[in-house]
Amino acid sequence: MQNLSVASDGIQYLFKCVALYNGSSFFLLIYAALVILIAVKGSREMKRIFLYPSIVILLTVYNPLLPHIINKVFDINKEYYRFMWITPVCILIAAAAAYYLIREEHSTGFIIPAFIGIVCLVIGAGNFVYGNGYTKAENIYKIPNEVIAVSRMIRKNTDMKYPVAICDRDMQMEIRQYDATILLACDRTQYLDFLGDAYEDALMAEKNEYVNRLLTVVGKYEKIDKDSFTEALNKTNTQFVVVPKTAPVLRFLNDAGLEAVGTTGTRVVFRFELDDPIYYDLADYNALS
Amino acid sequence: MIILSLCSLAVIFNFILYFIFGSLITGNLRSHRFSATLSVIMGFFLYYVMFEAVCIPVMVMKKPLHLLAWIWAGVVVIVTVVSFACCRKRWIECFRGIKGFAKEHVVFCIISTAIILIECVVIIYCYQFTLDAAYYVGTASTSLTTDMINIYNPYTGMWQDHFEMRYFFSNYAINDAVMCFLFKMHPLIWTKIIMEAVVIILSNLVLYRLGRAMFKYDLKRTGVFLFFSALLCFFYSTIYTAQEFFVTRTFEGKTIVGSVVIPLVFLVYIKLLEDHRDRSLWIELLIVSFASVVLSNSASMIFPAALFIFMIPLFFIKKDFRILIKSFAVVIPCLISVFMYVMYVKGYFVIRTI
Repeated sequence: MQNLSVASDGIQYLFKCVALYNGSSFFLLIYAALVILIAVKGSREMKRIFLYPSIVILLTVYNPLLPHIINKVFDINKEYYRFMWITPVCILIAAAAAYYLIREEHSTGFIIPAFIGIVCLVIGAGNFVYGNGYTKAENIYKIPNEVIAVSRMIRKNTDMKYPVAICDRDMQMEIRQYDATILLACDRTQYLDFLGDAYEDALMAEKNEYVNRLLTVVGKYEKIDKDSFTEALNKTNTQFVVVPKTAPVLRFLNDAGLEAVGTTGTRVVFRFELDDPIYYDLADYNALS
Repeated sequence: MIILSLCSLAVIFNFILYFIFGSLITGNLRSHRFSATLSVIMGFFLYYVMFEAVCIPVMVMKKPLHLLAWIWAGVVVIVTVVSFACCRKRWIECFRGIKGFAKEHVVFCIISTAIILIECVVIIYCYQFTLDAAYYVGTASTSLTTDMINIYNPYTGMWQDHFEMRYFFSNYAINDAVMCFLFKMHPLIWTKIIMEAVVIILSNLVLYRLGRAMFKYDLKRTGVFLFFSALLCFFYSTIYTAQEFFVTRTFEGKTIVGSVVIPLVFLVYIKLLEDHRDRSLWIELLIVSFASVVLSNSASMIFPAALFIFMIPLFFIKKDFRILIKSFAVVIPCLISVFMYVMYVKGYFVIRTI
């Protein structure tokens, strides 16, 4: 939950967290209704299985004070929602459906429409995970074909064993999953923080100066001084820049002296002639020992 | 098609391994009937506990990944031999039992197999872009490429001068790298096809046992329970729910925490309601606690929280103070992991890679 903060949201943090966690689905409400039903009409065994743990969950996980207590020791802002996984929402709803449907007194004539009714209720109360479409994997690696094409293009156009690249966000996150010999000029957190305009203190800004210049162009598609951009490429030993064909910086990259060595469906791969290339190799741990 | 057949064989191979590992625990429980599903579930966790015991020393000594892979292959062979020697009679009985069960409950077996297969096909054939794959798959591919363990940054591939303590104990992805090395397989295929199928099947095995425990071996109800659990996975979907993780980020360690570990703690709670003095259940929890730390660093906090949420009611129901003492003992591996991470963040120590 990137946008929530225990400190700034105060006591509201938990409620915002619950709202985000459940989205527009009604399953938490159905769960709460079932727990109340068990409290009122449930057997002793059902109360032991579902009611008592639910009370503890309510007093702990759903206690607005708990995130504040934990946050004093750990940074829980982004990950508090994982405690909500403990709530057996789906287990109780599925168990209630099974308990209700399969009874000796029910005939087949009752079970089938009741079954369809519960299925409709589940579908109506939730969000379908593929609501925005189902994207079939393009290949056995389950990454876009473009990632494979770009990796091969980089390999084809370098004499380095471990070339350094910087890519647009999606390519940056996937390229090393396919080919880990391609190094990246900046790590995931730094990339995402920069795109999200996260606060950087002076020390960090100085440390990240060159990478931030690269990210301004490659991540945010903003133009900067050409010399300052090429200086950043040299300082970070970055030989390849990968951007979408639609990025408004293609001309800028050409003007800065980068050469487009190839294109894929939606990406352009640029190569930069480093002034003083560093040929990275693996640390020799045998020599150390 | 050939690759998919090989992947299916690899999934079966994994489950055979888990069964062999699990038999070491379940095969020696004289008070319980030998169970194939319990053996597989416990075997999965024991497998990662034992892997961690081998992995950490090799990693700290900065030895190469291929050495870890061969040591691990040796351990697996030894475990297989020991397990075969100790449990072969129980295995034969167990296979006969499974055959008899399948004959007796044909409809249940067909329906539950169909549910699992549909889940596997729908989830595995889907492309999902997730930022965390850069870490999980990146760690496996980086370790494989560099032939070192956690020495290079998985996001960038750059050398690190110290081990990142956040992931020091979470070596689930390193096991992926080891298996990729041994089977000469690409990490993307191992993590996003084979381990996804493993997690889907494993989660359903836990749900099956949960259904059986809740409904007192009523398989009709258990079948309906499995169906609705599967359906809910596809409909309880915001980017935060465990169900969404299960469907879209199945290969990540924390998905196993949400979809296997937490339901398993709930299952053990139900069993403990019957007999809270059953030592084997507490041993199971201890193994799961150890393994959770290996699966994901998030588990170091989620597992203790889940355990206490279920053990506090148990304590009040049974009025036995030993429940709290045992619970505390069970979460010690998680607490050690958290303690070391806090000490590292506060700057009290660092483990250098030089």
